Amino acid sequence: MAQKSTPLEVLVQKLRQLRPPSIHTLISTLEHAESFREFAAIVREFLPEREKEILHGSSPGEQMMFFARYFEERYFPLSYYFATGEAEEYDELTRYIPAEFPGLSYDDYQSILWDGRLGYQILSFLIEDEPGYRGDFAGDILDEIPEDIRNQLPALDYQDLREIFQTAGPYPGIAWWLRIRNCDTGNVFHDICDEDYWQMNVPVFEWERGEVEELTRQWQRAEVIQNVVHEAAEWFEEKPVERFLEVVNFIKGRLAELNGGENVTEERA
Amino acid sequence: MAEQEEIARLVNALKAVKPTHLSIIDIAWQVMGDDGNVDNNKVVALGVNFDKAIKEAEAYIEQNRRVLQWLRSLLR
Repeated sequence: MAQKSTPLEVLVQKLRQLRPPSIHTLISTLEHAESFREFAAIVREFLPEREKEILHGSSPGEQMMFFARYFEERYFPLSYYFATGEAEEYDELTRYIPAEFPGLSYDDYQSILWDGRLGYQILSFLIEDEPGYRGDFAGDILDEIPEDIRNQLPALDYQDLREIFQTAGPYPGIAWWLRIRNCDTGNVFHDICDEDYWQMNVPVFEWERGEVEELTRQWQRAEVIQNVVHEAAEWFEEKPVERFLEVVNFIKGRLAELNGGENVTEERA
Repeated sequence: MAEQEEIARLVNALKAVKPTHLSIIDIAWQVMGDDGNVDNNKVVALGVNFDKAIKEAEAYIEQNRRVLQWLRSLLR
């Protein structure tokens, strides 16, 4: 005959079956809920008319993907990582604004020197801030611009060229490219690269209305700058030799003006 | 003092400890859905910042850990 259980023993059995959550479990659950609450607050603040559509996504990744896509349409792009639905935790999006910063990284720049578009190669070739720097170039520029013409370009570092090419001058695309190349545009989207932002080597932007509005203004300006540079690259590509020489002459003329009429350019040997 | 007496004092001291009210328990009840899982609609509607409740619960766990450590040290 089975032994009769006491009421306390029954209670212990029931509790074991039900597995009441430990405080650790509650903390973990509420931390997740808190992250969701923060995400939902951001959605309500910046895309209120899309709230239902975004929050009804089947997973955090899908919800953040919807948010990133709609956000970019109105404000500025967020990291591609969110738009593809790869993100898993709300914290990845909520801890700070994960904007996409297309500033030039070292690797981006090296790839231009080795096999970039001709127009961007010419733009980059203008600077010689280290002796021998131009020797790093490969690809189209070597085929399209003969060596004797390339050698007519004075060896000038960034600071000299910054003085010669003003953004309000006759070659704004060159002026902006030089500044982009040296992270000196005054526009965060050109001066910060993703690598630095994600590693938090630069101050991050918080999810605040003022920050979002400021970044939106800067993004609109960044696009204008990028288009101006792109037009300059295309301009070089149309007639590479002729326009390269035109710019060489402009540099020499401006150098002469800046040096009080004396032409003191130093041509490459 | 006899060991029995010490134990009696300790037990009395433990009996005098008042129950701790943790707000994380209240919040958990409020955001729970019918299926026993967290209902995100309730989370958003509640509009409460959970961080304070989470910190309170973490502090409670830590205090308990220290008391347990101390009680264990008495057994040695």
